[in-house]
Amino acid sequence: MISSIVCFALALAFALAGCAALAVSQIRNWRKVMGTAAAAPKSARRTGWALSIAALIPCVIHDGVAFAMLVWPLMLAVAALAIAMALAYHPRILTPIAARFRQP
Amino acid sequence: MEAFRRSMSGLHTWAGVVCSALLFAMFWMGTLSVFDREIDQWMKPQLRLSPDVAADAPASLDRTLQPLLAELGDRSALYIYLPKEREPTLRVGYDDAETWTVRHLDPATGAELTGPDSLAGTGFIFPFHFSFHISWVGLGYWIAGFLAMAMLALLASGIIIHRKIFAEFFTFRPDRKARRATLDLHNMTSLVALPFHVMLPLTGLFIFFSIYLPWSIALPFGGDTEAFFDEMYGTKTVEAAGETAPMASLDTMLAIAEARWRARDPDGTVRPDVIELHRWGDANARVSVQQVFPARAIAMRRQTITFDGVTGAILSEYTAPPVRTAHAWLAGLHFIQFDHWVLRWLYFFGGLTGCAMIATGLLFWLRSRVSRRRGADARFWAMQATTVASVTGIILATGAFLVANRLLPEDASFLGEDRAALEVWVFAMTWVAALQHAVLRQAAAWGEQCWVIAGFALAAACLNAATTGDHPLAAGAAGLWSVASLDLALLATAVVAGLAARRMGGSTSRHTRSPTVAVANTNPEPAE
Repeated sequence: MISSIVCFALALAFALAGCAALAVSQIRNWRKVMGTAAAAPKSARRTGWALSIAALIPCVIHDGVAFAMLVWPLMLAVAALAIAMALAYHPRILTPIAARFRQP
Repeated sequence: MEAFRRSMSGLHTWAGVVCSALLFAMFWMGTLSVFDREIDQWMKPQLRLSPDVAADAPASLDRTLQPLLAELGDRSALYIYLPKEREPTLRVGYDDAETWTVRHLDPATGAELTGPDSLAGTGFIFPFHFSFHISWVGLGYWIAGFLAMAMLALLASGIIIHRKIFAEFFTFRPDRKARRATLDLHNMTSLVALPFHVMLPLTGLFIFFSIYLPWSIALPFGGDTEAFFDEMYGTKTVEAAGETAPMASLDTMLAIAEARWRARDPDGTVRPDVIELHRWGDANARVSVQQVFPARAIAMRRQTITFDGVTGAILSEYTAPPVRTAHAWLAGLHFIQFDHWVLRWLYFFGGLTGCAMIATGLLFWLRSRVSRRRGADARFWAMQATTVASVTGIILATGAFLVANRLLPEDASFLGEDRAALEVWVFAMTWVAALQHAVLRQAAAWGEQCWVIAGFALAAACLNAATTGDHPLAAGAAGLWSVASLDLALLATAVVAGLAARRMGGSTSRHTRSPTVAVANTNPEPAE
């Protein structure tokens, strides 16, 4: 039971982080979150893809590849919708994540 | 490319306008069907056994089933479904004069669980999803199949006409005009769960292949459907010998089957879950011990061992051939009979996303017509009324169905209709009333019907507590997680519907006033 909670919480956390990074890597969203007119850094997109794919790993560990290939895309769907709603209503939530990619 | 995109846009619009009402109904009922067994437990309180009861080794099957088997005699087929987590009762199903009859027993005591009759989740909501309860010449299956094909066409055309898929993936702008926000939401709900939305209609079509493509059976098997089902499903019809004989022990047969399967599959995932009795009590009796719904596999692979009813000797063993297994895997993606609560809730979420996709698509079409200043033409009023009735209307009708289940007395009967049928009548008449309401009130009906949904959801949860005493705290304490979860889901629905109703309550516009008011304003002498 505990291992289930840990695995799926980890998967969701990776998915949320990955979708957040992918979202802020888009210029329109970057400007909304950071409030600047600068371009979005490329590292955000790469990290976003990596984290989103990494979310697959806890799912595979818990259930094997077959079930993981069903759980993971839906987990990403939940995360993507959550990030989109955050962007729409409270963009500042994503500021800490976007700040990590800001080029000095 | 532009011409192609325009034609795909035309296809998307017209397929959407024609099919969305029924598609929403299919998606809504399908989403609820994810939890059909939980809905059964809610609507038929006599089935509320804690799953821990199922976890304990069941009492002797022979002793438990003896009274019922003595009563039912030597039917050609009798199906025993062993208890599991989502259905902790021992279920017995058979055909009684062409009507499928189901009875439930307490697996520990063998007592029959009787109570108010209801079609509930597995009897009403689930069949509505794949056949709309239209059994005449199988028309319901064909409508469902047509809608599934339309859904695939809508998804494909939607992808083609959507220019900037990645750039707009996370775009939702509720602060912009309603039309823009609606389109954003439609695009987003389609894209985030796109693999899900494609997989479900596709696997749904695969499930009914024998209906849509009967030649797949006719050619290889020369039209002999019995031979087909024998080879693919391991079923065999049994003729009665006419003479009675004492039957061997079902417990022994179960133990033998489990031992054989465990020897082949050491991690113990293959367990019997269905027992078919053919001509029980007759000298020719056969018993089929089967695994149909594996707990940790997607494919609903069938393993069968057939025993002689009199001697208990093994007559034959059957394992699904590769083609059947492949089909079972595709069907299993749709039926989701495995044990995985996280995935089950994710499927539910995906289904709701699909409902949102269809509803926002319809809304976008309506708002586009309004903004193009087409004005008050009859087709717009009709489409708006249909949209409201198909979205909030059917949700509202489902709420009425649940409330009626709690209010109707056990022996309810009216004009020859029994209690279970009366619940369905309540559903149908409420749906029709919602349509009439939508015709008269037009855009204002959205908010008003959301209030009704909130009311029904709250009433259903409260009535459950009042009539059965299983409010969420008590149900949780008794281990009835399905009942507690459903009550909490109803309360959450009430909150969401109430918030939605409040948001919609303020907005009215010239184009959305009802046609009677608009006509009265322009024409000082009413037509009547």
